[in-house]
Amino acid sequence: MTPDRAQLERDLAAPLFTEGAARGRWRLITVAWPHAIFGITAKDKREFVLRLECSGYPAEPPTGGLWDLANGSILAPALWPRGDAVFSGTFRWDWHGGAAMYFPLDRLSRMGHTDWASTHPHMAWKPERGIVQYLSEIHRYLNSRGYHGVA
Amino acid sequence: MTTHIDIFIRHEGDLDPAHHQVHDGITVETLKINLADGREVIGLFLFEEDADEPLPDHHQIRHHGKPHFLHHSRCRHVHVVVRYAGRPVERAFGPGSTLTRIKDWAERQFEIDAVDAAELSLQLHGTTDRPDEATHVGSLAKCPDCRVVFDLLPSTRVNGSI
Repeated sequence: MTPDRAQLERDLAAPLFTEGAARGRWRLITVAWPHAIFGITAKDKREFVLRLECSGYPAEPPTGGLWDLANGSILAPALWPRGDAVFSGTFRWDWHGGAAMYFPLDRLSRMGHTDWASTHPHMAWKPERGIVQYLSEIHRYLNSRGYHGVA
Repeated sequence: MTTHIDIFIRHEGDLDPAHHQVHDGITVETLKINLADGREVIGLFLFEEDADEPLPDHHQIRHHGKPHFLHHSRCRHVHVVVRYAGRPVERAFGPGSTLTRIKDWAERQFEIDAVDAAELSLQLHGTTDRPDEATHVGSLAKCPDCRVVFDLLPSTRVNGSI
């Protein structure tokens, strides 16, 4: 087993992750290395599936987007959640075809966005906080006032 | 057959929860002794999440089909200050109070529209840290200070040139 996969599996077994699952905020659906697939619960109890590619974890953050489990593909645009300007600035199906969340905790999206370290310092990736940092931020968006459900 | 209960405990000054499995009916006093691991338990409190008063020593923790979320601290209360638009509000909370509870309280104090306002976040004053909503305020405090100051800030859109 590679070190990145071993660390991910340790973090998925740690209380920081399992406590969030016990609260119903998220759940692990499966790990198919290098991907891990999670269900994230929105404030209307709808579950969105998030597929994260975790190579290089935890030195590097994951990258990924909303996923259609039934079809094994990126979620179709019509099924993406809608929201206000803050929400839709991160949930962008037009960014890399929906393959990456547009925010500083995503490995692909943060490339070339060196300004994000100063404009969004609270979303700087901290390897010691691990995968929960990404999941809790997505959960926060989906439970914010800016989340308007699916059209 | 003994029924076991899952308990997640967050501690004073520590952001990481701990997971324990205990038997149904364990008293708070016994749980405190177990958590102390041989150290003195006088002056240590256990709180149910979002409660302002500590659990009494004789209280039994019962199986109810869901995990319990507790807080373990030497702080009896945490004095919380939230600053927004140049104005502070403050009150004492039980240390097991989540940041969700504190933010809801602060938004009511500041009469922020619960539907139309922009999403707000609690940021630790003097830092750029915005702890997760499930964080207990006591995990951000240390005895004997038992005090936390937040700024209430709007969430901003992530923008970029690409």
